[in-house]
Amino acid sequence: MPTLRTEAVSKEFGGVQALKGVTISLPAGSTLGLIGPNGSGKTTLLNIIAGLEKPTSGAVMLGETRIDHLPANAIVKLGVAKTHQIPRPFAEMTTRENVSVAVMYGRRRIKDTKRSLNEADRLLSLLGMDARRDLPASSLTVQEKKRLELARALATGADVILLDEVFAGLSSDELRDSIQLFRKIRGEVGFSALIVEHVMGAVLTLAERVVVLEEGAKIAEGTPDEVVHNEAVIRAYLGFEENDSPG
Amino acid sequence: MRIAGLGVTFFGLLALMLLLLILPFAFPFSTSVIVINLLFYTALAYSINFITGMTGYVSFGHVVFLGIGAYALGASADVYGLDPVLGVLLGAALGLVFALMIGLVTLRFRGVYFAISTVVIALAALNIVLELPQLGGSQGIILNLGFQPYSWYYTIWGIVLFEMLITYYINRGKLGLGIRAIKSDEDAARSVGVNVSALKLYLFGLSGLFAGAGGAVFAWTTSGVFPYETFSLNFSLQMLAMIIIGGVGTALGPILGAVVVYLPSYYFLTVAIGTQLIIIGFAVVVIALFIPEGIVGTLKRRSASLRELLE
Repeated sequence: MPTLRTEAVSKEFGGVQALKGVTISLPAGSTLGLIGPNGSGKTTLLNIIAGLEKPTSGAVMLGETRIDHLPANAIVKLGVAKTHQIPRPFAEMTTRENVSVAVMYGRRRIKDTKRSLNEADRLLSLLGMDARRDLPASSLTVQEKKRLELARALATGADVILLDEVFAGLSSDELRDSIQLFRKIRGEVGFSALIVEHVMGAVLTLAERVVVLEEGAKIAEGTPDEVVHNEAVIRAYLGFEENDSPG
Repeated sequence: MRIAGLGVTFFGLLALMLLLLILPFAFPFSTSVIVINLLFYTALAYSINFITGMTGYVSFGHVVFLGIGAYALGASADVYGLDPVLGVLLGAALGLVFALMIGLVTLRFRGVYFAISTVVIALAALNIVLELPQLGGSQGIILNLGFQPYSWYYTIWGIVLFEMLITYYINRGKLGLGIRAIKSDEDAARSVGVNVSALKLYLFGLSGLFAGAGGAVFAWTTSGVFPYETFSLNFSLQMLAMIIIGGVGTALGPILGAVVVYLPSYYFLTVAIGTQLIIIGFAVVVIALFIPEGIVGTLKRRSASLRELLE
Protein backbone atom coordinates (compact mmCIF):
# COMPACT_ATOMS: atom_id res chain seq x y z
CA MET A 1 0.00 0.00 0.00
CA PRO A 2 1.77 3.19 -1.19
CA THR A 3 1.79 6.68 0.29
CA LEU A 4 -0.24 9.31 -1.52
CA ARG A 5 1.34 12.75 -1.72
CA THR A 6 0.58 16.05 -3.38
CA GLU A 7 3.65 18.19 -3.99
CA ALA A 8 3.08 21.93 -4.20
CA VAL A 9 -0.13 21.50 -6.17
CA SER A 10 -1.53 24.72 -7.62
CA LYS A 11 -4.65 25.20 -9.68
CA GLU A 12 -5.78 28.27 -11.51
CA PHE A 13 -9.27 28.74 -12.94
CA GLY A 14 -9.16 31.70 -15.33
CA GLY A 15 -7.12 33.98 -13.08
CA VAL A 16 -8.49 32.65 -9.80
CA GLN A 17 -5.95 30.74 -7.67
CA ALA A 18 -8.06 27.87 -6.36
CA LEU A 19 -5.00 26.10 -4.89
CA LYS A 20 -1.69 27.67 -3.95
CA GLY A 21 1.10 25.12 -3.67
CA VAL A 22 -0.63 22.60 -1.41
CA THR A 23 1.50 19.72 -0.12
CA ILE A 24 -0.14 16.93 1.81
CA SER A 25 0.89 13.38 2.60
CA LEU A 26 -1.29 10.38 3.31
CA PRO A 27 0.86 7.50 4.59
CA ALA A 28 -0.36 3.94 4.04
CA GLY A 29 -3.23 2.99 6.32
CA SER A 30 -3.65 6.43 7.84
CA THR A 31 -6.61 8.78 7.99
CA LEU A 32 -6.13 12.41 7.05
CA GLY A 33 -8.83 15.03 7.47
CA LEU A 34 -9.04 17.95 5.07
CA ILE A 35 -11.12 20.85 6.31
CA GLY A 36 -11.65 24.47 5.44
CA PRO A 37 -14.40 26.96 4.76
CA ASN A 38 -16.48 26.93 1.57
CA GLY A 39 -14.39 27.71 -1.48
CA SER A 40 -11.10 26.93 0.25
CA GLY A 41 -10.15 24.40 -2.44
CA LYS A 42 -10.88 21.09 -0.69
CA THR A 43 -12.94 19.59 -3.48
CA THR A 44 -10.55 20.92 -6.13
CA LEU A 45 -7.66 19.14 -4.41
CA LEU A 46 -9.67 15.93 -4.22
CA ASN A 47 -10.63 16.20 -7.90
CA ILE A 48 -6.99 16.70 -8.86
CA ILE A 49 -5.93 13.61 -6.90
CA ALA A 50 -8.73 11.58 -8.51
CA GLY A 51 -7.73 12.75 -11.99
CA LEU A 52 -10.93 14.69 -12.66
CA GLU A 53 -8.88 17.88 -13.05
CA LYS A 54 -5.27 18.57 -13.94
CA PRO A 55 -3.10 20.74 -11.67
CA THR A 56 -1.66 23.94 -13.15
CA SER A 57 1.63 23.10 -11.44
CA GLY A 58 2.89 20.62 -8.88
CA ALA A 59 2.55 16.85 -8.82
CA VAL A 60 0.48 14.06 -7.33
CA MET A 61 2.51 10.98 -6.40
CA LEU A 62 1.28 7.53 -5.49
CA GLY A 63 4.38 5.91 -4.02
CA GLU A 64 6.99 6.48 -6.73
CA THR A 65 4.44 6.88 -9.52
CA ARG A 66 3.36 10.27 -10.74
CA ILE A 67 -0.39 10.13 -11.38
CA ASP A 68 -1.53 13.71 -12.06
CA HIS A 69 -1.41 13.32 -15.85
CA LEU A 70 -3.51 10.13 -15.87
CA PRO A 71 -7.23 9.95 -16.68
CA ALA A 72 -9.62 9.24 -13.80
CA ASN A 73 -10.32 5.64 -14.81
CA ALA A 74 -6.61 4.85 -14.92
CA ILE A 75 -6.11 6.29 -11.42
CA VAL A 76 -8.88 4.03 -10.13
CA LYS A 77 -6.99 1.07 -11.56
CA LEU A 78 -3.92 2.13 -9.55
CA GLY A 79 -5.97 1.92 -6.36
CA VAL A 80 -7.26 5.43 -5.68
CA ALA A 81 -11.05 5.83 -5.54
CA LYS A 82 -13.26 8.80 -4.74
CA THR A 83 -16.83 9.08 -3.54
CA HIS A 84 -19.04 11.84 -4.88
CA GLN A 85 -20.18 14.64 -2.66
CA ILE A 86 -23.63 14.42 -4.16
CA PRO A 87 -24.21 10.67 -4.66
CA ARG A 88 -24.25 9.61 -8.28
CA PRO A 89 -25.61 6.08 -8.37
CA PHE A 90 -26.35 4.35 -11.67
CA ALA A 91 -30.04 4.97 -11.10
CA GLU A 92 -31.55 2.31 -13.38
CA MET A 93 -29.29 -0.44 -12.10
CA THR A 94 -29.83 -2.42 -8.92
CA THR A 95 -27.69 -1.71 -5.90
CA ARG A 96 -25.63 -4.86 -6.34
CA GLU A 97 -25.13 -4.14 -10.03
CA ASN A 98 -23.87 -0.68 -9.08
CA VAL A 99 -21.26 -2.21 -6.81
CA SER A 100 -20.54 -4.95 -9.29
CA VAL A 101 -19.48 -2.42 -11.96
CA ALA A 102 -16.81 -1.18 -9.57
CA VAL A 103 -15.69 -4.74 -8.78
CA MET A 104 -15.26 -5.54 -12.47
CA TYR A 105 -13.75 -2.29 -13.70
CA GLY A 106 -11.75 -1.33 -10.62
CA ARG A 107 -8.31 -2.41 -9.72
CA ARG A 108 -9.12 -6.08 -9.37
CA ARG A 109 -10.51 -6.40 -12.90
CA ILE A 110 -12.68 -9.39 -12.07
CA LYS A 111 -14.16 -10.60 -15.35
CA ASP A 112 -16.66 -13.19 -14.14
CA THR A 113 -20.15 -11.76 -13.55
CA LYS A 114 -21.12 -14.23 -10.86
CA ARG A 115 -17.93 -13.70 -8.86
CA SER A 116 -18.30 -9.94 -9.06
CA LEU A 117 -21.92 -10.09 -7.89
CA ASN A 118 -20.86 -12.25 -4.94
CA GLU A 119 -18.19 -9.75 -4.04
CA ALA A 120 -20.74 -6.93 -4.35
CA ASP A 121 -23.08 -8.80 -1.99
CA ARG A 122 -20.26 -9.26 0.53
CA LEU A 123 -19.52 -5.53 0.56
CA LEU A 124 -23.19 -4.59 0.76
CA SER A 125 -23.67 -6.84 3.77
CA LEU A 126 -20.57 -5.30 5.39
CA LEU A 127 -22.32 -1.94 4.95
CA GLY A 128 -25.60 -3.28 6.27
CA MET A 129 -27.40 -2.98 2.95
CA ASP A 130 -28.32 -6.62 2.24
CA ALA A 131 -32.01 -5.81 2.09
CA ARG A 132 -31.44 -3.22 -0.63
CA ARG A 133 -29.33 -5.18 -3.04
CA ASP A 134 -31.98 -6.01 -5.63
CA LEU A 135 -33.65 -2.61 -5.55
CA PRO A 136 -32.92 -0.02 -8.21
CA ALA A 137 -30.38 2.45 -6.82
CA SER A 138 -32.80 5.29 -7.56
CA SER A 139 -35.07 4.02 -4.78
CA LEU A 140 -32.44 4.36 -2.02
CA THR A 141 -32.54 7.08 0.64
CA VAL A 142 -29.83 9.77 0.68
CA GLN A 143 -27.97 8.01 3.47
CA GLU A 144 -28.12 4.70 1.58
CA LYS A 145 -26.91 6.38 -1.57
CA LYS A 146 -23.93 7.71 0.36
CA ARG A 147 -23.22 4.21 1.59
CA LEU A 148 -23.48 2.98 -1.96
CA GLU A 149 -20.82 5.53 -2.92
CA LEU A 150 -18.58 4.07 -0.24
CA ALA A 151 -19.43 0.51 -1.30
CA ARG A 152 -18.45 1.31 -4.90
CA ALA A 153 -15.20 2.92 -3.81
CA LEU A 154 -14.33 -0.12 -1.69
CA ALA A 155 -15.40 -2.43 -4.50
CA THR A 156 -12.79 -1.00 -6.84
CA GLY A 157 -10.21 -2.60 -4.54
CA ALA A 158 -8.72 0.81 -3.77
CA ASP A 159 -6.22 1.19 -0.96
CA VAL A 160 -6.58 4.96 -0.97
CA ILE A 161 -10.13 6.23 -0.61
CA LEU A 162 -11.07 9.88 -1.00
CA LEU A 163 -14.26 10.66 0.90
CA ASP A 164 -15.96 13.86 -0.24
CA GLU A 165 -18.38 14.93 2.48
CA VAL A 166 -19.83 11.48 3.12
CA PHE A 167 -20.84 12.54 6.59
CA ALA A 168 -22.55 15.78 5.57
CA GLY A 169 -26.28 16.19 5.67
CA LEU A 170 -26.92 13.35 8.09
CA SER A 171 -28.95 13.56 11.28
CA SER A 172 -26.96 13.16 14.50
CA ASP A 173 -28.14 9.54 14.87
CA GLU A 174 -27.19 8.77 11.28
CA LEU A 175 -23.85 10.47 11.82
CA ARG A 176 -23.11 8.32 14.85
CA ASP A 177 -24.09 5.16 12.96
CA SER A 178 -21.97 6.18 9.99
CA ILE A 179 -18.91 6.84 12.13
CA GLN A 180 -19.29 3.45 13.82
CA LEU A 181 -19.78 1.79 10.48
CA PHE A 182 -16.71 3.50 9.07
CA ARG A 183 -14.61 2.20 11.98
CA LYS A 184 -15.97 -1.31 11.51
CA ILE A 185 -15.11 -1.28 7.81
CA ARG A 186 -11.65 0.04 8.54
CA GLY A 187 -11.23 -2.93 10.86
CA GLU A 188 -12.04 -5.39 8.06
CA VAL A 189 -10.70 -3.70 4.94
CA GLY A 190 -7.37 -1.89 5.14
CA PHE A 191 -7.15 1.41 3.29
CA SER A 192 -5.90 4.95 3.76
CA ALA A 193 -8.60 7.60 3.86
CA LEU A 194 -8.60 11.26 2.97
CA ILE A 195 -11.72 12.72 4.51
CA VAL A 196 -12.95 16.05 3.22
CA GLU A 197 -15.57 17.57 5.44
CA HIS A 198 -17.32 20.84 5.88
CA VAL A 199 -18.60 19.74 9.26
CA MET A 200 -15.72 19.25 11.70
CA GLY A 201 -17.27 16.64 14.00
CA ALA A 202 -16.67 13.50 11.97
CA VAL A 203 -13.18 14.54 10.88
CA LEU A 204 -12.00 15.32 14.39
CA THR A 205 -13.32 11.95 15.58
CA LEU A 206 -11.84 9.82 12.78
CA ALA A 207 -8.71 11.53 11.50
CA GLU A 208 -5.25 11.06 12.97
CA ARG A 209 -4.03 14.24 11.34
CA VAL A 210 -5.89 17.22 9.90
CA VAL A 211 -4.93 19.70 7.18
CA VAL A 212 -6.68 23.05 7.08
CA LEU A 213 -7.09 24.98 3.83
CA GLU A 214 -8.05 28.60 3.47
CA GLU A 215 -8.38 30.36 0.12
CA GLY A 216 -6.38 27.63 -1.56
CA ALA A 217 -3.45 27.61 0.85
CA LYS A 218 -2.58 25.25 3.67
CA ILE A 219 -2.73 27.25 6.88
CA ALA A 220 -2.32 24.51 9.46
CA GLU A 221 -1.60 20.83 9.89
CA GLY A 222 -1.52 18.67 12.99
CA THR A 223 -3.50 16.35 15.20
CA PRO A 224 -7.19 17.23 15.56
CA ASP A 225 -6.45 18.61 18.98
CA GLU A 226 -3.62 20.85 17.76
CA VAL A 227 -5.69 22.10 14.87
CA VAL A 228 -8.76 23.14 16.84
CA HIS A 229 -6.55 25.15 19.18
CA ASN A 230 -4.56 26.79 16.40
CA GLU A 231 -5.10 30.57 16.37
CA ALA A 232 -5.00 30.89 12.58
CA VAL A 233 -7.54 28.10 12.17
CA ILE A 234 -9.91 29.57 14.68
CA ARG A 235 -9.71 32.94 12.96
CA ALA A 236 -9.95 31.74 9.41
CA TYR A 237 -12.11 28.69 9.58
CA LEU A 238 -14.47 29.44 12.39
CA GLY A 239 -14.55 33.15 11.74
CA PHE A 240 -14.51 34.26 15.39
CA GLU A 241 -12.01 34.57 18.27
CA GLU A 242 -11.67 31.70 20.70
CA ASN A 243 -13.27 33.60 23.55
CA ASP A 244 -16.21 34.83 21.45
CA SER A 245 -19.43 32.93 21.71
CA PRO A 246 -20.15 30.96 18.48
CA GLY A 247 -23.63 32.47 18.07
CA MET B 1 -35.90 -20.67 -17.37
CA ARG B 2 -32.19 -20.44 -17.92
CA ILE B 3 -30.12 -23.05 -19.64
CA ALA B 4 -26.41 -22.78 -18.91
CA GLY B 5 -26.83 -19.09 -18.22
CA LEU B 6 -28.57 -18.40 -21.53
CA GLY B 7 -32.18 -17.31 -21.52
CA VAL B 8 -35.28 -18.10 -23.56
CA THR B 9 -34.74 -15.02 -25.71
CA PHE B 10 -31.42 -16.39 -26.90
CA PHE B 11 -32.84 -19.74 -27.95
CA GLY B 12 -35.90 -18.05 -29.41
CA LEU B 13 -33.74 -15.85 -31.62
CA LEU B 14 -31.53 -18.80 -32.52
CA ALA B 15 -34.58 -20.85 -33.53
CA LEU B 16 -35.88 -17.96 -35.61
CA MET B 17 -32.55 -17.64 -37.39
CA LEU B 18 -32.48 -21.38 -38.11
CA LEU B 19 -35.98 -21.15 -39.56
CA LEU B 20 -34.86 -18.27 -41.73
CA LEU B 21 -31.88 -20.36 -42.83
CA ILE B 22 -34.14 -22.89 -44.56
CA LEU B 23 -36.86 -20.44 -45.57
CA PRO B 24 -35.65 -19.84 -49.15
CA PHE B 25 -36.09 -23.57 -49.86
CA ALA B 26 -39.49 -23.86 -48.25
CA PHE B 27 -41.27 -20.86 -49.67
CA PRO B 28 -41.73 -19.22 -53.06
CA PHE B 29 -39.28 -16.59 -54.07
CA SER B 30 -41.46 -13.57 -53.49
CA THR B 31 -41.51 -14.36 -49.76
CA SER B 32 -37.74 -14.53 -49.62
CA VAL B 33 -37.45 -11.13 -51.25
CA ILE B 34 -39.62 -9.60 -48.55
CA VAL B 35 -37.48 -11.35 -45.94
CA ILE B 36 -34.30 -10.01 -47.56
CA ASN B 37 -35.62 -6.48 -47.07
CA LEU B 38 -36.77 -7.28 -43.59
CA LEU B 39 -33.33 -8.68 -42.70
CA PHE B 40 -31.71 -5.63 -44.26
CA TYR B 41 -33.66 -3.33 -41.96
CA THR B 42 -33.03 -5.67 -39.04
CA ALA B 43 -29.29 -5.42 -39.72
CA LEU B 44 -29.53 -1.62 -39.71
CA ALA B 45 -31.54 -1.65 -36.48
CA TYR B 46 -28.98 -3.85 -34.71
CA SER B 47 -26.17 -1.69 -35.99
CA ILE B 48 -27.54 1.56 -34.56
CA ASN B 49 -28.53 -0.32 -31.41
CA PHE B 50 -24.85 -0.77 -30.56
CA ILE B 51 -24.30 2.94 -30.11
CA THR B 52 -27.68 4.62 -29.66
CA GLY B 53 -29.49 1.75 -28.00
CA MET B 54 -26.72 0.81 -25.63
CA THR B 55 -25.18 4.17 -24.70
CA GLY B 56 -27.99 6.64 -25.42
CA TYR B 57 -25.80 8.57 -27.91
CA VAL B 58 -28.31 9.33 -30.66
CA SER B 59 -26.62 8.83 -34.03
CA PHE B 60 -28.96 10.81 -36.27
CA GLY B 61 -26.61 10.62 -39.20
CA HIS B 62 -26.01 6.90 -39.01
CA VAL B 63 -26.83 6.60 -42.71
CA VAL B 64 -23.29 7.85 -43.39
CA PHE B 65 -21.93 4.36 -42.66
CA LEU B 66 -24.57 2.77 -44.84
CA GLY B 67 -23.45 5.12 -47.60
CA ILE B 68 -19.78 4.31 -47.08
CA GLY B 69 -20.54 0.58 -47.30
CA ALA B 70 -22.67 1.05 -50.39
CA TYR B 71 -19.98 3.03 -52.19
CA ALA B 72 -17.30 0.55 -51.08
CA LEU B 73 -19.14 -2.27 -52.82
CA GLY B 74 -20.20 -0.08 -55.73
CA ALA B 75 -16.76 1.27 -56.52
CA SER B 76 -14.90 -1.99 -55.93
CA ALA B 77 -17.32 -3.97 -58.13
CA ASP B 78 -17.48 -1.27 -60.78
CA VAL B 79 -13.79 -0.44 -61.11
CA TYR B 80 -12.03 -3.62 -60.01
CA GLY B 81 -14.75 -6.16 -60.67
CA LEU B 82 -14.49 -7.35 -57.09
CA ASP B 83 -16.81 -10.14 -55.99
CA PRO B 84 -19.81 -8.59 -54.16
CA VAL B 85 -19.26 -10.76 -51.07
CA LEU B 86 -15.77 -9.28 -50.81
CA GLY B 87 -17.38 -5.91 -51.44
CA VAL B 88 -19.55 -6.46 -48.37
CA LEU B 89 -16.45 -7.25 -46.32
CA LEU B 90 -14.79 -4.13 -47.69
CA GLY B 91 -17.91 -2.11 -46.81
CA ALA B 92 -17.76 -3.47 -43.27
CA ALA B 93 -14.05 -2.67 -42.95
CA LEU B 94 -14.49 0.89 -44.25
CA GLY B 95 -17.55 1.37 -42.03
CA LEU B 96 -15.39 0.36 -39.07
CA VAL B 97 -12.45 2.59 -40.04
CA PHE B 98 -14.61 5.64 -40.69
CA ALA B 99 -16.61 5.08 -37.49
CA LEU B 100 -13.40 4.96 -35.47
CA MET B 101 -12.10 8.15 -37.09
CA ILE B 102 -15.40 10.02 -36.78
CA GLY B 103 -16.08 8.68 -33.28
CA LEU B 104 -12.68 9.76 -32.02
CA VAL B 105 -13.83 13.33 -32.58
CA THR B 106 -17.61 13.32 -32.19
CA LEU B 107 -17.93 11.01 -29.17
CA ARG B 108 -16.45 13.82 -27.06
CA PHE B 109 -19.72 15.68 -27.54
CA ARG B 110 -22.66 14.75 -25.40
CA GLY B 111 -26.41 14.70 -25.86
CA VAL B 112 -27.85 16.82 -28.60
CA TYR B 113 -24.39 18.08 -29.67
CA PHE B 114 -23.39 14.55 -30.61
CA ALA B 115 -26.66 14.06 -32.51
CA ILE B 116 -26.10 17.30 -34.45
CA SER B 117 -22.50 16.39 -35.26
CA THR B 118 -23.62 13.10 -36.81
CA VAL B 119 -26.19 14.85 -39.02
CA VAL B 120 -23.56 17.34 -40.16
CA ILE B 121 -21.22 14.50 -41.09
CA ALA B 122 -23.94 12.70 -43.04
CA LEU B 123 -24.76 15.87 -45.00
CA ALA B 124 -21.08 16.56 -45.61
CA ALA B 125 -20.55 12.98 -46.83
CA LEU B 126 -23.34 13.37 -49.39
CA ASN B 127 -21.83 16.61 -50.69
CA ILE B 128 -18.34 15.13 -50.86
CA VAL B 129 -19.62 12.16 -52.86
CA LEU B 130 -21.48 14.49 -55.25
CA GLU B 131 -18.17 16.21 -56.00
CA LEU B 132 -16.21 13.03 -56.68
CA PRO B 133 -16.33 11.95 -60.34
CA GLN B 134 -14.61 8.66 -59.38
CA LEU B 135 -17.79 7.78 -57.46
CA GLY B 136 -20.06 8.91 -60.27
CA GLY B 137 -20.94 12.30 -58.80
CA SER B 138 -24.66 12.94 -58.76
CA GLN B 139 -25.21 10.11 -61.26
CA GLY B 140 -23.96 7.48 -58.86
CA ILE B 141 -22.69 4.09 -59.95
CA ILE B 142 -24.77 1.65 -61.94
CA LEU B 143 -23.75 -1.95 -61.36
CA ASN B 144 -24.44 -5.01 -63.40
CA LEU B 145 -24.34 -7.67 -60.76
CA GLY B 146 -27.50 -9.43 -61.78
CA PHE B 147 -30.23 -11.10 -59.77
CA GLN B 148 -28.54 -13.13 -57.02
CA PRO B 149 -31.24 -13.62 -54.40
CA TYR B 150 -29.61 -16.58 -52.63
CA SER B 151 -26.33 -14.75 -52.20
CA TRP B 152 -28.15 -11.62 -51.02
CA TYR B 153 -30.25 -13.62 -48.64
CA TYR B 154 -27.46 -15.56 -46.96
CA THR B 155 -25.15 -12.57 -46.76
CA ILE B 156 -27.66 -10.41 -44.95
CA TRP B 157 -28.72 -13.40 -42.85
CA GLY B 158 -25.11 -13.86 -41.76
CA ILE B 159 -24.77 -10.17 -40.91
CA VAL B 160 -27.87 -10.27 -38.71
CA LEU B 161 -26.72 -13.46 -36.99
CA PHE B 162 -23.36 -11.88 -36.15
CA GLU B 163 -25.06 -8.78 -34.81
CA MET B 164 -27.39 -10.80 -32.60
CA LEU B 165 -24.55 -12.88 -31.18
CA ILE B 166 -22.39 -9.84 -30.50
CA THR B 167 -25.30 -7.95 -28.91
CA TYR B 168 -25.86 -10.97 -26.72
CA TYR B 169 -22.22 -11.33 -25.83
CA ILE B 170 -22.01 -7.65 -24.85
CA ASN B 171 -25.23 -7.51 -22.88
CA ARG B 172 -24.57 -10.55 -20.75
CA GLY B 173 -21.10 -9.82 -19.46
CA LYS B 174 -18.71 -7.29 -18.06
CA LEU B 175 -18.95 -5.08 -21.16
CA GLY B 176 -22.71 -4.75 -20.83
CA LEU B 177 -22.51 -3.76 -17.20
CA GLY B 178 -19.93 -1.07 -17.94
CA ILE B 179 -21.98 0.18 -20.90
CA ARG B 180 -25.14 0.42 -18.79
CA ALA B 181 -23.12 2.44 -16.27
CA ILE B 182 -22.01 4.79 -19.06
CA LYS B 183 -25.59 5.22 -20.24
CA SER B 184 -26.64 6.02 -16.70
CA ASP B 185 -23.85 8.43 -15.68
CA GLU B 186 -20.69 8.73 -17.72
CA ASP B 187 -18.64 10.56 -15.08
CA ALA B 188 -19.63 8.21 -12.29
CA ALA B 189 -18.72 5.28 -14.56
CA ARG B 190 -15.27 6.77 -15.06
CA SER B 191 -14.87 7.19 -11.31
CA VAL B 192 -15.25 3.45 -10.72
CA GLY B 193 -12.69 2.64 -13.40
CA VAL B 194 -14.75 2.21 -16.56
CA ASN B 195 -12.74 3.30 -19.59
CA VAL B 196 -15.61 5.33 -20.97
CA SER B 197 -13.94 6.74 -24.10
CA ALA B 198 -12.63 3.35 -25.24
CA LEU B 199 -15.96 1.58 -24.68
CA LYS B 200 -17.92 4.22 -26.58
CA LEU B 201 -15.47 4.08 -29.45
CA TYR B 202 -15.66 0.27 -29.49
CA LEU B 203 -19.45 0.40 -29.78
CA PHE B 204 -19.40 3.15 -32.40
CA GLY B 205 -16.88 1.10 -34.38
CA LEU B 206 -19.12 -1.97 -34.22
CA SER B 207 -22.14 0.03 -35.30
CA GLY B 208 -20.20 1.54 -38.21
CA LEU B 209 -18.94 -1.89 -39.25
CA PHE B 210 -22.41 -3.43 -39.45
CA ALA B 211 -24.05 -0.37 -41.02
CA GLY B 212 -21.27 -0.50 -43.63
CA ALA B 213 -21.93 -4.17 -44.29
CA GLY B 214 -25.67 -3.47 -44.54
CA GLY B 215 -25.04 -0.58 -46.93
CA ALA B 216 -22.94 -2.80 -49.17
CA VAL B 217 -25.78 -5.32 -49.36
CA PHE B 218 -28.13 -2.45 -50.19
CA ALA B 219 -25.93 -1.46 -53.16
CA TRP B 220 -25.71 -5.10 -54.23
CA THR B 221 -29.46 -5.75 -54.14
CA THR B 222 -30.34 -2.49 -55.90
CA SER B 223 -27.47 -3.08 -58.35
CA GLY B 224 -26.34 0.48 -58.06
CA VAL B 225 -25.41 3.32 -55.74
CA PHE B 226 -27.26 6.60 -56.03
CA PRO B 227 -26.10 9.39 -53.73
CA TYR B 228 -29.44 10.91 -52.74
CA GLU B 229 -31.09 7.55 -52.07
CA THR B 230 -28.03 6.11 -50.31
CA PHE B 231 -27.40 9.05 -47.99
CA SER B 232 -31.11 9.68 -47.38
CA LEU B 233 -31.74 10.73 -43.78
CA ASN B 234 -34.87 8.57 -43.98
CA PHE B 235 -32.62 5.58 -43.32
CA SER B 236 -31.32 7.19 -40.16
CA LEU B 237 -34.84 7.93 -39.00
CA GLN B 238 -36.08 4.44 -39.79
CA MET B 239 -33.19 2.84 -37.89
CA LEU B 240 -33.91 5.02 -34.90
CA ALA B 241 -37.64 4.37 -35.11
CA MET B 242 -37.03 0.62 -35.14
CA ILE B 243 -34.96 0.52 -31.97
CA ILE B 244 -37.17 3.04 -30.18
CA ILE B 245 -40.26 1.02 -31.00
CA GLY B 246 -38.65 -2.35 -30.35
CA GLY B 247 -36.77 -1.43 -27.20
CA VAL B 248 -33.37 0.24 -27.03
CA GLY B 249 -30.26 -1.63 -26.03
CA THR B 250 -31.92 -5.05 -25.93
CA ALA B 251 -31.13 -8.15 -27.99
CA LEU B 252 -34.74 -8.69 -29.01
CA GLY B 253 -35.75 -5.05 -29.60
CA PRO B 254 -34.11 -4.37 -32.98
CA ILE B 255 -35.63 -7.33 -34.82
CA LEU B 256 -39.00 -6.71 -33.22
CA GLY B 257 -38.81 -3.05 -34.20
CA ALA B 258 -37.74 -3.92 -37.74
CA VAL B 259 -40.73 -6.24 -38.17
CA VAL B 260 -43.17 -3.73 -36.70
CA VAL B 261 -41.84 -0.85 -38.82
CA TYR B 262 -40.96 -2.65 -42.04
CA LEU B 263 -43.93 -4.93 -42.64
CA PRO B 264 -46.59 -2.20 -42.42
CA SER B 265 -44.42 0.21 -44.39
CA TYR B 266 -43.92 -2.46 -47.05
CA TYR B 267 -47.67 -2.77 -47.27
CA PHE B 268 -48.15 0.97 -47.47
CA LEU B 269 -45.31 1.28 -49.93
CA THR B 270 -47.04 -1.02 -52.36
CA VAL B 271 -50.66 -0.22 -51.61
CA ALA B 272 -50.81 3.36 -50.42
CA ILE B 273 -47.68 4.81 -51.98
CA GLY B 274 -46.05 7.71 -50.19
CA THR B 275 -47.64 7.22 -46.81
CA GLN B 276 -44.97 5.10 -45.15
CA LEU B 277 -43.03 7.93 -43.52
CA ILE B 278 -46.24 9.42 -42.19
CA ILE B 279 -47.13 6.06 -40.67
CA ILE B 280 -43.66 5.58 -39.14
CA GLY B 281 -43.68 9.12 -37.77
CA PHE B 282 -47.09 8.57 -36.28
CA ALA B 283 -46.00 5.26 -34.73
CA VAL B 284 -42.90 6.85 -33.14
CA VAL B 285 -45.01 9.64 -31.63
CA VAL B 286 -47.50 7.15 -30.22
CA ILE B 287 -44.69 4.97 -28.82
CA ALA B 288 -42.87 7.94 -27.32
CA LEU B 289 -46.07 9.11 -25.64
CA PHE B 290 -47.45 5.83 -24.38
CA ILE B 291 -44.66 3.27 -24.17
CA PRO B 292 -41.41 5.25 -24.03
CA GLU B 293 -39.37 2.17 -23.20
CA GLY B 294 -40.40 0.44 -26.41
CA ILE B 295 -42.05 -2.95 -26.72
CA VAL B 296 -39.40 -4.98 -24.90
CA GLY B 297 -38.79 -2.40 -22.16
CA THR B 298 -42.48 -2.01 -21.46
CA LEU B 299 -43.23 -5.72 -21.36
CA LYS B 300 -40.35 -6.20 -18.94
CA ARG B 301 -41.58 -3.47 -16.67
CA ARG B 302 -45.21 -4.58 -16.72
CA SER B 303 -44.67 -8.24 -16.02
CA ALA B 304 -42.32 -9.80 -13.52
CA SER B 305 -42.41 -13.14 -15.33
CA LEU B 306 -41.44 -11.57 -18.64
CA ARG B 307 -38.59 -9.64 -17.02
CA GLU B 308 -36.51 -12.79 -16.78
CA LEU B 309 -37.46 -14.06 -20.22
CA LEU B 310 -36.95 -11.01 -22.42
CA GLU B 311 -33.51 -9.61 -23.04
